[in-house]
This record gives sequence, C-alpha cells and structure tokens, in this order.
Amino acid sequence: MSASMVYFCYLLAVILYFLNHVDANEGVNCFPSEWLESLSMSVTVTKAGFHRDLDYSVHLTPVDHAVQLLIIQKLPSGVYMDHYQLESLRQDLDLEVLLDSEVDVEAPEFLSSEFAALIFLPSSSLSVSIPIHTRIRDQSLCSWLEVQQLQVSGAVGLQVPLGDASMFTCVCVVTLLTTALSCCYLLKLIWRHGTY
Amino acid sequence: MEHRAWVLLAAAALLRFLLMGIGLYHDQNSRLKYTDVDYQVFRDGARNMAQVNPHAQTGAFPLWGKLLFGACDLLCGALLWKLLVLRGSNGLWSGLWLMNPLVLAISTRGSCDALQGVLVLATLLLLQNEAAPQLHRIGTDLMPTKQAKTVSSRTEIRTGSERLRPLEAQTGSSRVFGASVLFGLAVHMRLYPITYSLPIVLSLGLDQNSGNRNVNKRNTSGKGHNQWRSSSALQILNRFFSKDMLIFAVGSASVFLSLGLIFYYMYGEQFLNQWLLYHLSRKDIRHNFSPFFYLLYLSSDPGVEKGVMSSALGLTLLLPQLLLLIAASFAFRSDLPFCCYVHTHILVSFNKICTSQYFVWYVCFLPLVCARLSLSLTRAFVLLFLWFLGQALWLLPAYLLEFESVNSFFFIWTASLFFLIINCIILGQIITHYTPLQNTFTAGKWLRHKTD
Repeated sequence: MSASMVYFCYLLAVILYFLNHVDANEGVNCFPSEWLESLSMSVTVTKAGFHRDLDYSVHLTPVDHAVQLLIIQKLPSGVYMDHYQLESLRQDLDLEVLLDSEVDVEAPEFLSSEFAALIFLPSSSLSVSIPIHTRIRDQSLCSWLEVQQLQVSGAVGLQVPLGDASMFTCVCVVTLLTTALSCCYLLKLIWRHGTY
Repeated sequence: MEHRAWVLLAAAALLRFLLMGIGLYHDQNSRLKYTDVDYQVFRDGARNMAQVNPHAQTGAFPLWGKLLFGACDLLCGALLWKLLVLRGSNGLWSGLWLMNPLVLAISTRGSCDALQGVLVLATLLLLQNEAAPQLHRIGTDLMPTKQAKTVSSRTEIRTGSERLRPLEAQTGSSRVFGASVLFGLAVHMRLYPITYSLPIVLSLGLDQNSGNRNVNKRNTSGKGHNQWRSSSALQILNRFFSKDMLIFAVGSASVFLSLGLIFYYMYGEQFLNQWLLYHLSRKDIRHNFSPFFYLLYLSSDPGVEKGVMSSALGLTLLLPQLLLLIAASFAFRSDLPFCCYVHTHILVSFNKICTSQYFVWYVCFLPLVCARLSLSLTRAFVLLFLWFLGQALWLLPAYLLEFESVNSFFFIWTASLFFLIINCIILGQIITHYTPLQNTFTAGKWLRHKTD
C-alpha cells in the first residue's frame, strides 16, 4: 500500500530588503534580533482537487522602514507550479515567483523531481496565495491516500484520489471489447457504403 | 467570389473582432483569462525564436498573433466557399464554419488550428476537380439541383462508351505539386494530416488505373496476350503508379524533411524531441476524453510486469485506428474532403489521447460533408445533441475529480466509452447518408455502381 503523502518541509528564509535609501553595509543592523524572533508565519493548503492554493501569512511587529519578504518553499515531486500561471500572477498582482529548475507540467510523479520556489511578495505585503497542482501518480490498491499524522511543527498535507488498480482486468476487458465492437460496426458500414 | 460570400465573410469578421475585443478587455481586467494558455505557449515560442533570430519581430505579438489566427479562420471560410462551389454545392454551407460558436470561441482565444485548416483545405482545393452537372442527378434532400454556373468546357463528361482524356489535362501536375507543398507544410505543423496521404495518393492513382485499364483493353483486343509478354517492368509499374502520385509523394516529403532539417539546424535536439519524438514517447496520462484513458492510466505502473504489458497494449490500441483508416482510405478515396473528414473523426475518436481542441480538426470539413448529406433535420439535431451529451457526461465527473477531489474515475471511464459509442453512431449515420462526389472523369463506370 503506497502511503504516498504530500507534505511540505518548508524552509523559512526571510530576507529583508530595504527600500528607502539605506546603505548595503548597514543592512545587517536594520533589524534587531528580538524583532526577528517575533516573526512567525503560517501556511495552509486551501481548495480541493488537483489544483490547490498555498496560503502564506506572515506576522511581524511593525517597524519603521519598509519590509519586503521572500519565501523560499521546497516542494516535492508530487506537485508542480505552472509557469504560465505564475507569469499572469506577475502581471496582475506584481507577485514574482521564480523556480529553481525547469518544471515539466505534463510529467507524472515518478519522472519528476523536487524543486524550490522563490516567492517575492509585493512591497509591504504580508500574505500571499500561490497556486500549485498535483501530478498524476501511479495508482494503489487504496483509492485514497493516507494522511500522516499532522505534526505540530507544521507539516502540511493533502489528499488526492487515485485510480483503482483492482479494476484493471475489468477495465481492460470492457474497454477492448467496446473498442472492437465499435471498430467492427464502422468497418461494416465503410465496406457497405464505400466506392471501389 | 460572389457578393453573398463577401457578406458572410464580413459578418464573420465582425463577430471575431467583437469577441477579440471583449477578450482583450477581459484579460486586462480579470484574473480568469479569456485567452487560452496555449496562446501564451505560442507567444513564448515566438519570443524564444526571436532570441535566436533577431530579425523576427515579436513586440506586438499578443494582438498581432490573434489577428493572424482570426484572418486564417476567415481564409478557411473562403476556401470552404470555393471548394463547395467547385463541388457543385451551395457556398452558404461555409457558414457552418464561419458562424460556428465552437470555432469562434477557439479562434478568438488564440488557437493555431485555423492555420492548420487553411493548409489542409488549400491542399484539397488544388486537388479538387470541378464537378460536372451529371454528377448531381443523384438527388438528395439537401442538395441543390441547378449547377449551370459550374460547368466549364474542361470537364465534359460522356456517359456510355467513354472517350478518355489524357491525365495531364485532368489533374494539372502543377496543381498537384502546389498541393504537395501545402500538404508538406500542414504535416510539419501538426503530424495528424499525414494520414490523408494514403487517400490522396490513392486518388491520384485512380484516374491512371482506370485510364490504363481501358487503354490496355483497347490495345490488347487485337493483339492477344502478346501485349502482356512484352510489357516491361516499367510498364507494369506504370499501371499502378502515376506521375502525379510521384510528384505528390516527392513534393510533400521533401518539404516536410527540409523544414525539419532547417529547424533542427536552427534549434537542435530540443526541436526534434518536441516536434516528432514527443508523439512516440508521450507519457501524458491525465484524464481526457479518450476511451483508453483509464486503461492506460491503470497500466502505467512503473513496476516491471505491467510495464511490458503497457507497451504491448499501446500497440494493440493502435490497431482499430489503423484498420479503420486504411479501410476508409480505400473506400472513399474518390471524394477527398469526405475521406479526410472520416479519417480525422476516426483518428480523434480512437486516439489514446483526446481533448476538445482535437474536435476542431474535423469540424472544418463539416460544411463540405453536410452539403451532400441526406439526413433529416430532426435526426441531425438528435446526433448533435448526443455529441454534446457525451461530452457533458464526461465533463461532470472530470470536474468533480479535478476540482473537488471526488474519486470519480469509474464514471469518467464509463462516460468515455459512451462517448466513443456516440462518435461511432454519428460517424455511421454520416457515412450511411452521404452521397460521395466522384472526383474522376470516368463517370460511366462509377456512377452506375453508386446511384441509388
């Protein structure tokens, strides 16, 4: 039984940009360490089906200069992001999402690899929603995925329905039979109405 | 072209402008895009090409591209009109393409299938001979009877004992060459028209065969079997292959290969993979209309035993397509547009992958087919309704699977089989009620066989 589970190990790296006339040398002193410790972020998976949204929400105490956020999200091979969709997000919402490797949107899960997405939030924005899509997976004997125990550290998972492998023989026989009969029906008609 | 055609084309153009305008406005102001994602793929491709070839202009591609596809769409309509008139039908049937909501939606969203349609229809136009009046006295419900305007001095037909005209005057070799170039281009753009090559080649050999057969009869009547003994291999070859067949085969193959070589030289390995090899090794098993979707999905386990079976399965699944295409090529080779329609419908229905984009491939032949169909209006509407019903029955479980995580694989599978059956019924009805137009000049023999 393949307990394939999609859960995210996410690496939270928040890099802070300074937008107002601050020297690069001084960057390191811009944010006091206690402020950095007060940062927190939550992520949830919303929607249902093969197309989900990752909703990020960052909580930080207000500070006097502008802050821009970058979220680096590592994703497993079972999901992908569509770069055409990301392109339209860039145009509409000024949201820049870069992927660290080429993503083949059509490949099934066993032919894909994990990748990382760099999500640059628009200036002063603290929350964002990124669309992701699940890949085709090989089927298992169970028609539903098992969900691992959700941990407090925030592993996030989602369920995706799979095909039923126990039906393979039945599907094979019925499909081939229907195809063969349809084919014979058409061949008969073509033979009868063709001009030779 | 007569002014009715211009009126229809103008109306179609207006509709398209309107829809494109609405689409543009919608794209700027809404997150749900009207423009198809495929169009963005196209645009990206053009941008990439521009980087390799700096002379290519892609700045205004978004609008320019859509206008190009819209123009191709209208050109398809014009070609259909010309073909219809040439075949002795009413040109207004091309409205089935120009005013078709499916076509309108697809072309204004930015799909390149219209360009494909232009190439295929232009090929057929060049290969189509003018229909002579006698061929219309078959009498069907929907066919016009007065075709005096299409008679030209070139296509005199005599029933009874035929005086045969030399082959060159019938299908001008220059037209055949032109057709072969366009055909090569069409196959280069999308691989599926390659199936039309069999009926085209057979039809070009048709005239020669009947011509030779009769010529030989006349010649050998006095000489007995001495004639046969002295025929050389060249003469025997000549019986089965005509000059035009050779021109077509060589012309289209050279265009196809040289274009392939040019692009390979410009863009390398990546081009080869995505253009050709992709079709052979395609591993896309996401749900689609194909009756074989679930079978292929279940057998796609990367485990060894099933892996072997899935390649054997893949080959078995090609069999119905192959048999039907070959049968249809021989049966309908004398009426190329109809043959192409049957080919495409079979190809799409029995294919391992089928998406709604593929339907446009056979819709472009619909005006030509409907003009010679003797179906009652009720029956036609019932068939159309069944076609939409089949899709709806598939779309519902597919939506539930993709967007609501409902395990509806079983229903998707049964709906896809049902859709296959519906497509076969529709195709069967069309084949049964269609009156083929013989594209040869030996009217006597063929008509006596076919008139009913």
